[in-house]
Amino acid sequence: MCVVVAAVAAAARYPTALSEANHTARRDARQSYTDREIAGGNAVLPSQRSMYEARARIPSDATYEVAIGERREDWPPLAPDHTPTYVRYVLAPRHEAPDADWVVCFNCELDRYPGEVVWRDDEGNALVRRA
Amino acid sequence: MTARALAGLLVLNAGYLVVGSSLLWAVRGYGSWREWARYAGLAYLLGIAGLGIVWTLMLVVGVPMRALAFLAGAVLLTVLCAIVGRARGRSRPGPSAPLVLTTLSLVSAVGIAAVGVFFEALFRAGRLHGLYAFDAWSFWVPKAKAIYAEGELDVDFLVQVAHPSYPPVVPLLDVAAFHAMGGVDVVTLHVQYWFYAVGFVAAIAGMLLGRIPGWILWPFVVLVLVAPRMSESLLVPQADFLLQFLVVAAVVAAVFWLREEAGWPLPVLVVLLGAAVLTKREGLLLAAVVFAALAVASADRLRTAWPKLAVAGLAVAAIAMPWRLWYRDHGLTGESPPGFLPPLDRVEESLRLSLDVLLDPALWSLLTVLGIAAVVLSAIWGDRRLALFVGTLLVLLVLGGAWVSAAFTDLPISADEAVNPIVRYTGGIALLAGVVCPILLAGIWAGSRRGTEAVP
Repeated sequence: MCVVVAAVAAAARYPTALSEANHTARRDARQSYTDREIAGGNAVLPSQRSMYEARARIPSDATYEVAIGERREDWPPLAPDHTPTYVRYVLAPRHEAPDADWVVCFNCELDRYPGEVVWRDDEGNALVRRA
Repeated sequence: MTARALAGLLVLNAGYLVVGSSLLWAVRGYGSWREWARYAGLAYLLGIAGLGIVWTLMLVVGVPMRALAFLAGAVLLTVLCAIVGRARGRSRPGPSAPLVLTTLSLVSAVGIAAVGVFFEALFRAGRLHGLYAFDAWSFWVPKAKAIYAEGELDVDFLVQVAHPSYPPVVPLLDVAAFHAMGGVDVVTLHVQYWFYAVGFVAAIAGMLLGRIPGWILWPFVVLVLVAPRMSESLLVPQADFLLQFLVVAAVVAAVFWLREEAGWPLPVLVVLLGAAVLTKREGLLLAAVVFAALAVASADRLRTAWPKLAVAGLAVAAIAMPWRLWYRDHGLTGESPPGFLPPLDRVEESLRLSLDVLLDPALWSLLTVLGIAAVVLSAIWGDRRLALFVGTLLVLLVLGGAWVSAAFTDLPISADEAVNPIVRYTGGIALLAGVVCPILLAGIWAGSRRGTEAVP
């Protein structure tokens, strides 16, 4: 009886599980390279581009800090709380530190972080290399 | 996301199989090449477990964990197993008897086809999947990236990510995958977790086929794979499923040991549980529960069985120690709850939560209900020792989950996976239920055919 119940349950669930896996495969295949690589960060980050800029420009032995300014309307709801964690993942093994060599700025007040602005966009995101 | 990355993973996993095969040859030996093929899944899991332990020890003693170090660890373990195997008089596998295709029942053929089609779909789902899971990008993968870049776990970096004291097997296996893929490819990394799932199913099917009729085994194997929470989360690059694969395979080895089949299941159990305690902190709890259930089920063989269990338990504890000494020496904390005894006001609520999650068909289909039914039926008509073992295991696991929720007072008592690990923890119980069900039911079936109690 238990075997019959298991067989029926497996047969009932199998098409759904297969369909879910197929759906995931199709959805992932349609994504852009960037969306696929940023993945979870799309629900968190104010800006994808800033991650690529930070990863390309900050040397692997340099330190950085994340500065988050006033929340913009186009930011994901989770941005203020989880952006530092996501930036840490992208920039690992670089260390986060106060008064770091670099500042990853998301709509922050740049005046508070004196240094060379090596990259910025129109949405208030920037990379600052401290002197 | 390249063919080169996939080819690299294929080579890496073939390497796990080779290392594990040598380990299983040393402790068990193979009568024929077909027997090797049958146990290939178990050998693969043992390869991962054995290398997880060796690489962790290397990391702890300060070996720079570059690509060569990973390779050296694998070669070292293989050579060691070869020497032990030789010393124990193991011979090369002999020729296999001709394969009689009629021995493969129609049900087994359908089961294998269903599993194969599902894994093909799962491969495509994992092949281009981004890293979405919060725990994966918040601490598992950052730790792996740190080891990959620096060859060590830098404590200054470790304290910046969540759970710095979590054991390092999963980050180390991820690093091995990065080396094999030629870089930090967090997308193709999901395929590595697909290999773990394939290896686990091959291990369970290989160990049980021939002992259990296919019509009893395959419905449960398929149900385990397609149960809602399983099919959705098998490829998430976190420690949960790998931990559960190791523990459930160890439980099957424990079942063989309880039947006094031979001496090999106990060393296999030690390696699998040894890796489990280095995979996640819950591994300590799960290993303790397995040993406790084994002790209860073998209480009538106190003088012969318990000393062996004590030695095996000490071996697992010895494997667990170096990492714990390392992180304490580096001033890290966080594996233990604030107190062993949870606050009373949380106990009842936690227990209710554990039972609610355990019996939720939206998560596990009917796996856990069938597991409980199989234990009861087996206690009445089947192998009572086995029923006692599995029943004790299930009860202790549920209590263990309740204890985790209650004792870690910062966890809200909730089934929300974002704030409480009870759903992920209970996944192990569901997986276990799905695997032990056919073993218990086959015992009842065999008993009814022989007119006596029998084991599968």
